[in-house]
Amino acid sequence: MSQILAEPIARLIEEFGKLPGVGPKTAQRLTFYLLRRPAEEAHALAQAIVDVKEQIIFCHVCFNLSATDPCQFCADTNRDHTRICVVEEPLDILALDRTGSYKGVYHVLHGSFSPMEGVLEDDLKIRELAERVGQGGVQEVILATNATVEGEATANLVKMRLQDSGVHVTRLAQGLPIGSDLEYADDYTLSRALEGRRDY
Amino acid sequence: MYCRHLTLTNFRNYVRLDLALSPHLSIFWGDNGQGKSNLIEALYVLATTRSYRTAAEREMVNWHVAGGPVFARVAAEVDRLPSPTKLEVILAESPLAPAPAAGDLSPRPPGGLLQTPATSVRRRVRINGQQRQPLELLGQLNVVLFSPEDVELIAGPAALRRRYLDITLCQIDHVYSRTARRYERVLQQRNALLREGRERAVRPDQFEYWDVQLVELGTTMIMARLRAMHRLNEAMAEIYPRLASDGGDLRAEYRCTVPLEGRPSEALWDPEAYRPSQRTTVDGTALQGPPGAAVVELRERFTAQLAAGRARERQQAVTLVGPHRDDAGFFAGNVDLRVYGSRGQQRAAALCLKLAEVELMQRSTTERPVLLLDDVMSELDPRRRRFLQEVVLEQQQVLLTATDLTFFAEDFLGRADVYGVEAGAVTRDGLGVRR
Repeated sequence: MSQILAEPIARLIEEFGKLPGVGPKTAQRLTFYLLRRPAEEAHALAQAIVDVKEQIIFCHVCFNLSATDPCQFCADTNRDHTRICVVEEPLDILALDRTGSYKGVYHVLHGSFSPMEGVLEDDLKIRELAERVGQGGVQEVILATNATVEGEATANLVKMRLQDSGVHVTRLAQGLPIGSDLEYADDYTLSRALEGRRDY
Repeated sequence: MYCRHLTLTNFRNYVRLDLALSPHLSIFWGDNGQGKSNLIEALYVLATTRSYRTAAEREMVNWHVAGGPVFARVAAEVDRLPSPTKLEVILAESPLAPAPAAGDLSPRPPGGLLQTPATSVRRRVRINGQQRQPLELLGQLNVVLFSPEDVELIAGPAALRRRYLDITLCQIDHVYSRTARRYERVLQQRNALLREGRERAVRPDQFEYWDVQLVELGTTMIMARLRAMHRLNEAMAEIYPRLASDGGDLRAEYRCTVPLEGRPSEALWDPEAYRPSQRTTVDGTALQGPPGAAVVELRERFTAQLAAGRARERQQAVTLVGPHRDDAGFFAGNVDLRVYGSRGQQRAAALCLKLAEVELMQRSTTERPVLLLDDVMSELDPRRRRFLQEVVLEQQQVLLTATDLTFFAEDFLGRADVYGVEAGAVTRDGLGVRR
């Protein structure tokens, strides 16, 4: 390609091609799209990429990605700091907070217990969570890891590590998605929903 | 149940095929390489989501069709209880390698159960026009396939027998297919953890979750397999004497990596001990009351066996106990057919196993499966050929391929729809033309 295309174009296509979910065709399309846009737009994009790398840091309390330390959630005195919701990824916070029904704080593990991907206990922020809980003032830890085999394994591991702290550990309920037909639910989901049934 | 209509588009050497099928016997006759087995394969794909001939789905797509997007489509109307169902599998070229799909039954190297091969073909499944997970296709159309390669079920490696049991059980037991899929995942994670344990320090309690899952899911699988083997044995005891000249009996024995000796065997066959979706959920936890005594006992033995082999397991960095390591042996009298059986004996045993599978399926689903016989007559001696023809006429729907019609008795042919197959075209053949 380098012989046909000018070197800067080929280089940008190559860089785009490294992004997840972007194949060679999409990389080409993105490159030529940017070529046709005004220079300011390209500068804004480049600046945004540099800023995100230079300005985003880990919150030392909950390990969320943030521009400030502590992050907006940990610094917010209106939130309930006795409740910690444990998630796998920073994006999970977005999903949970959008609900508006959770007013506690968070803790990001940065992954799930998945030996296949080389992620073991020490690669997750579990020890940091145990230390945070050990400092006192926490009443409940809500395990909001994914409902996958790995998410369950992670929840199990966190629970084991918090056992001695005496904190109340809960797990998100599992069952039927709202607005779905019973008929189309798979039997695994359905049996979980049955297990998790409650008085009505 | 039976398949009353089959439609193929760009499937192997068929550009387009519309075929109405009778609920009884259909014979597909023609030279090699004309597309007889492709019809059998198409029905097998609809039943199991996978081919029995290849792990590479690319091969099933006819790539020689000019113009337009390349895809293969297999569709069928299945007459079954409670109501007729339309099934559809579409194989289309995919720009990205697909994620491991649900209910995967592709051939794979020994050691594992259900895993997808690397492929650039995407598989889509529709049931009555609605897009569904491939796993949901299982059980919609039940088939029993017998082909000359099935002799390897008796004579070949253990992985083939495990795969055979898995495919059979996945067709009749939804709990089993989901359990097997989850088990495979847990097994891979546990093996990875064992490997990691050689590189760096892993606290022993990190195994706790994976061990518990392995035992619970594995126990569910072992019990389902034991019960299936028990039923297969019951059926084989009736079939084998009609099939074999040696007057002996044929018996299958499950060889479990969890010791089963001295088990309260009656408890294992007790329907209450393992009843899908009523007594136990997929991961084996109790749904209505505690699990049965047999489940508890098997889990305890599994756990103990796992603990006993811990050192060796760490050393080899692979899980050594569980259904993924189990095997089955076939015995005529006291003779282990895998080791000491003649090729003829092994072939007879394979045929007997397949016919027993028909009975197993009927008992489990109350409907008779479709019997697919791919070029099997030439491999059998005249006695077994005669027997198979008798049995075939007792079946509901049978699709049979042959290169030579002289193997068949006159009245057998008289009761069949005979089709000629040539270069990807199927024609209804007159009797005069055949001779």
